Amino acid sequence: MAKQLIVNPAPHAHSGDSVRKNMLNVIIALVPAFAVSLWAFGWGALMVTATSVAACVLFEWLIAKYIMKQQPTICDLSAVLTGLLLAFNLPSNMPLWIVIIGALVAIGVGKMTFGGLGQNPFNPALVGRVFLLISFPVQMTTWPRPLGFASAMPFVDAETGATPLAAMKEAIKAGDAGLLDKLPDLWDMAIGMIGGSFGEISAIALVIGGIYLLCTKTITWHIPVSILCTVALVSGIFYLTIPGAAAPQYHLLTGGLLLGAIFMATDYVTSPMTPWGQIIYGIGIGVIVVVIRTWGAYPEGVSFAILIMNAVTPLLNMYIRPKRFGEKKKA
Amino acid sequence: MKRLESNLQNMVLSLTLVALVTAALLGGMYVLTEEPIRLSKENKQVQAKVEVLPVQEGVTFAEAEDHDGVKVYRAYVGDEFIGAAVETFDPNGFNGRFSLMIGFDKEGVITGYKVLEQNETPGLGANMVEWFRTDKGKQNVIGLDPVKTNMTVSKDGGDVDAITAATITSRAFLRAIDRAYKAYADQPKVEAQSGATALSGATVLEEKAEAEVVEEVEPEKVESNE
Amino acid sequence: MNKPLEVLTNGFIKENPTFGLVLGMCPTLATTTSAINGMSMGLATLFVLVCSNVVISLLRNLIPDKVHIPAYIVVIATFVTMVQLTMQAYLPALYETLGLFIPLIVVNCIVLGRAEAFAAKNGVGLSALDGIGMGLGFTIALTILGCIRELLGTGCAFGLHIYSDVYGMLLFVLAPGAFIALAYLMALVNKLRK
Repeated sequence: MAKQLIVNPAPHAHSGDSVRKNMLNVIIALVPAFAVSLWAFGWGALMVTATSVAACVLFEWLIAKYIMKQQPTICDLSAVLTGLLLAFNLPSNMPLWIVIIGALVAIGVGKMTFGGLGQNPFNPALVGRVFLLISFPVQMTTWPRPLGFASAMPFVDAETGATPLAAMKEAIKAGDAGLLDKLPDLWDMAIGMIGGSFGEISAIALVIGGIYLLCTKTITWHIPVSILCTVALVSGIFYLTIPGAAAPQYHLLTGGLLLGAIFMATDYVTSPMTPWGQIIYGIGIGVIVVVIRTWGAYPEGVSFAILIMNAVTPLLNMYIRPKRFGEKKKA
Repeated sequence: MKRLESNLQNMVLSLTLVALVTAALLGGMYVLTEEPIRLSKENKQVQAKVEVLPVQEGVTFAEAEDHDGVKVYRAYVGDEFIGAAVETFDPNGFNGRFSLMIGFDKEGVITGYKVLEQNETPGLGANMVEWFRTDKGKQNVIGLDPVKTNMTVSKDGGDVDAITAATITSRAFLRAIDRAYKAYADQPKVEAQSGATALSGATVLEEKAEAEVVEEVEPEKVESNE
Repeated sequence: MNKPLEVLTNGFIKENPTFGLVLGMCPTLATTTSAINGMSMGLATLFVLVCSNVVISLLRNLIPDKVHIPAYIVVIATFVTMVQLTMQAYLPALYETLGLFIPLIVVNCIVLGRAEAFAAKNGVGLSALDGIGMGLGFTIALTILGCIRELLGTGCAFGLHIYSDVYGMLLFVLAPGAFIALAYLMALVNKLRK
């Protein structure tokens, strides 16, 4: 009986139209961030994105047609979105063969193995990204420095620079807040003049995309806001108590946090469906992000945090039922 | 034959018998393998020390000296002082403490190293096992003299290339070498009396250690520009 | 059907301990970082399986039912300790790699499972064949898994370079790769078996 009460919101594999519309909205919302990355990293960003999207669509089509023997559903744009999000999580000087492996893992392992759209427990783009991060750590953590318009040159030669997150990690390892002086200006971080995976660098562009998603009701505020508030709170506590810990504003503006909070944690299939479930999910992600950034083996923890909470989602859906908390939502 | 009934007498008897026979077997096995196991363990410890030295044949070690957790094993061939194997560490690798065995010859030149224990990130910091002895760019530290070379990563203005994308580990690695070298150069009195060769080695090293202090101020300044 | 042959080959595919019975997952996932490691672990288990199957089959009527589990465990533990001591003495490098997982053979479900399900009910000859079959099945599975992980992770197979390790996907040498590789291998075996 209990199971019958659970009704999943869109996307259902059969409601092609609305899936397509939602996916299209998310893609539109990613445009500002993509524009900034083109401006900052030039052709490299374009090449990586094109390769990733093309590979994701191709693999989805091949697997659906020849292994699963069903009608391919690439028209719903979900593979395009997976490709885009995967590309946004990669450095712009990534060798293209690695991008293709990432696309294969994202679509093949992350999505189609579980039965395709709507069945995957984990966000496919993040499965691909984490696979690449663990498999090719050197390429995944060597970022080119953004060069503004001057960057329209062959991307293999770009200078590499440490990201703000690496500097933060080093400061906390040494327990020396002085090392934090190396961090770039907050303004540079906001517009995107910092090193990083190319889709995540500009905070402002990502927030604009987020506002668009909220206005078109593609997502609700619960997940992004609860993630960001938790990160601010937890990193604030660490900032005050642990020597060498970075201030909350740095945690909020660097790395993949905004990209993750707005675009990836909010994936319908892999996030809880009730508002309270979403808030708990967001808090969980926020805490894990700061913990990994402070003590983990990798500088960035957003992907890991979202994947871990993806795994908790079925549990949240089971315990936090829509009906019981329906009233509180309005208050 | 029918299976034995589960009464107390049978149970106690069969269990005791099984226990006795297996215990005897294991006892015999233990006696047989005791010596080889002890030898292979000992061999492993000596091997780690000998491996990093310039000479591998006929090396004997003096009693270990402890300098704040860094252990110095001075090595001799016959009576001649040939250098030392130093067991060193750094508490601040990317994922915590790691330990190394580093070899110096009697001039203080690094002759080899071996990572004894580490928890660095696979593919990044964990590459230190091979990185600093691979001849590529300026990443090889073997053959370097810690006094004549600036033992910091090139990013900080030094003469050693850091592991790609693992600067924190690389810095910690070089700090561990520095710690080892200081312990090695810090010649105890007992050592100085033990022979003419060792004595001359000691004087050279002490002079070097002084020179090093002066040099160290420079790289710090470069770092703040980064 | 030829009974002894059937007993022997049972463990290869039909009741393969790894792909069919899904037993002994702990060493399967943990020690298959390379083909050699996987094979060594498989062979160590094979030795224990054969010896314990033979001894337990011999003792099957001398041990009362109520105490058969403790007696079996003691027998198995004895053989495992023998393997451990021998390895420690003569193959120290391999012992260091497999480390903890050698003593853990004691609690490997395959060994106790075969003792209970087969050796306690059958004669010495058949039990020995069963041990060999199951042990080989386990060894083959671990070797294949180790080979795949080593190849994808480092570009080597049995330590021989097949392609440049620049293209190696480190994940396959680490724990998550074990799960992913095992899952796909199992899916493949299940499909082939149908």
